[in-house]
Amino acid sequence: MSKSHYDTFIRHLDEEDKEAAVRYAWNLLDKGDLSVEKLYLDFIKPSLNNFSCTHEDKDICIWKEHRRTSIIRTILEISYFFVMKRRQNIPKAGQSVLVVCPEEEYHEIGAIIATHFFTLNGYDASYIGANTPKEQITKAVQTFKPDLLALSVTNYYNLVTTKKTINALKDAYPKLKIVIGGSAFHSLNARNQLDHDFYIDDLNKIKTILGGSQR
Amino acid sequence: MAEPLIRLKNINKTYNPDSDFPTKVLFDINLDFNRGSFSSIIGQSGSGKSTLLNILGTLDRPTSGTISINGKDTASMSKNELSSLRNKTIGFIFQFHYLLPEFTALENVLMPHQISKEQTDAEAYKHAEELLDFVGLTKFKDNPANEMSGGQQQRVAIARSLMNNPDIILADEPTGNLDSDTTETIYKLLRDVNKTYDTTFIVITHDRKIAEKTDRVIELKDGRVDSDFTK
Ligand SMILES: Nc1ncnc2c1ncn2[C@@H]1O[C@H](COP(=O)(O)OP(=O)(O)OP(=O)(O)O)[C@@H](O)[C@H]1O
Ligand SMILES: [Mg+2]
Repeated sequence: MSKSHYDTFIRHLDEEDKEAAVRYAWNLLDKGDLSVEKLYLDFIKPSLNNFSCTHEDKDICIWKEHRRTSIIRTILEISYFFVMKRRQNIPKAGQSVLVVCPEEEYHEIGAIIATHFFTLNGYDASYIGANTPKEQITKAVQTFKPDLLALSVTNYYNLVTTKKTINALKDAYPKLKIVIGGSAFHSLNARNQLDHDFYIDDLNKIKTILGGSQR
Repeated sequence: MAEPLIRLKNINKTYNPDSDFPTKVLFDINLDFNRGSFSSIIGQSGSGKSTLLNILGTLDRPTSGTISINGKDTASMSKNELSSLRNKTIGFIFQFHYLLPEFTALENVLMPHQISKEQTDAEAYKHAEELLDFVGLTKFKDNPANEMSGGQQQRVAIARSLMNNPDIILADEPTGNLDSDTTETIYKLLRDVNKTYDTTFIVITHDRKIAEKTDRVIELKDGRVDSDFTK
C-alpha cells in the first residue's frame, strides 16, 4: 500500500466519481496491491472518518456524506468477491457469528466490514442488517444458534436499546457470547453497563476472540 | 475533579407515606450533574421522571436521601432559604408553561425578577427585552400570553426561565406538543443558552431527536436508574 494509492482513491471519492472509485479499488484488489483488510482499515475507514465538508450549508454536507457512503457500499459489495476467493484457503474456525445493528441504528458500514473480517478469520459469519428490533435479533439467534452475536453501534443514544437487547439475549441464551464494537462504545462507562464478552475496538483483534476470554 | 453542581444521594420518594396506600416511586437514586452539562432523562410514563425533576428543583422533598446544590445540602434549609435558592439558581420550563395568561410576554419574562426584587429597574427591563429578542419574540413582547401560539408561549417560558441568570435549568417535556420544526428551534435555543452561559440543563423528553443530541441520557425504569450513558 502506498500513500499515492490512498490519495488517488480519495480524489475519486471527493469528485464523487463512483465508477472511477469502484474500478480503482477493484484493480488494487485484483492485482494484489492491496488486501481487503487494508482496503477496509486504511482506505475506507479513514475516508469516512475524515470526511469533512467545507460547505457552509450543513444540509449539503449531509447528502454529500450519504453519497460517499453509497459509493463505499458498492466497493464493499464487490470486495466480497475477494473475501470468497480467500475463504477457500482459510481453515475453518468451527464457530458461527451473527452481526447486527440494533433498532434505530442505521450506520452499517462497520457491521458489514466486521462480518467480512469474521469470515476471513474462518468464522461462519452472517450479517443480518441495520435497524433490527430486539425481538427479530432474538428470533435470528433462535434460528441460527450462533456461538457469537456481534452488535455494531455508532450513535450513543442507541446504547439504551443495545442494553435491553443484550439483556433479553443473555436471559434467553446464557451461553451466547456477545461481541460489541463501534464508536458508541468508546467510553468505558458505556461498556461497563453492558453485559458483553468481547469488545472489538480494532478489527484485527477478532483473531484473539478464538483464543478465549479477552474481557 | 471538581465537585458536581448537583449531587443526589440515595434518593427515595414515597407519595402519601402515612396513608393506607403509600406509593413508592423512586428507589435509591444516585446521580451527579456537572456544571455546564446537558443531560436528558427518558423513561416510560409513570417511571418517576417528573417526581425526580421536582426533587432536583427542590419543589418537593425526598422521603429519604440528600440533594446538594453547589456543595450545600438542601435538607437543612428553611422554606424561605429554599425558595431564594430556587429563584436565584434554578430556572424551570414545564410542558404546560404556566404563563400568566392575561399578562404580556414581557411581563411574564420579568416575573422571576419581580419575585426576588421589590423594584423593577430599567436594567431588568432591558435584560427581559434582550431575552425576548434571543428567543425571537421581539415583535410579540407586548402581546398577552393567551393570544400567542403554543410554540411562542414555550419560547416566552424559556426567556422567563433565564431571567435571573440561573446556573441550572430544569425542563419537563419542553417540546411536548410542538411540531418537529419548532422542537428543533427550541432545542437549538436551549443549546445556545447552555454554550453561551455555561448553564446546566436537565431535560425530560420523550423525543428521541432531542435526547440523542444531549451529552448524557439517563433512563428511569420503575423509579430506578436503568441506564446512564454519556457521549
Ligand atoms: N402527587 C402525587 N401523589 C401520588 N402519586 C403520585 C403523585 N405524583 C405522581 N405520582 C405517581 O408517581 C409515579 C411517577 O409519576 P411521575 O409523574 O413522576 O411520572 P413520569 O415519569 O413523569 O410520567 P409521564 O411521562 O407520564 O409524565 C406515578 O405512578 C404517579 O401516579
Ligand atoms: Mg412527567
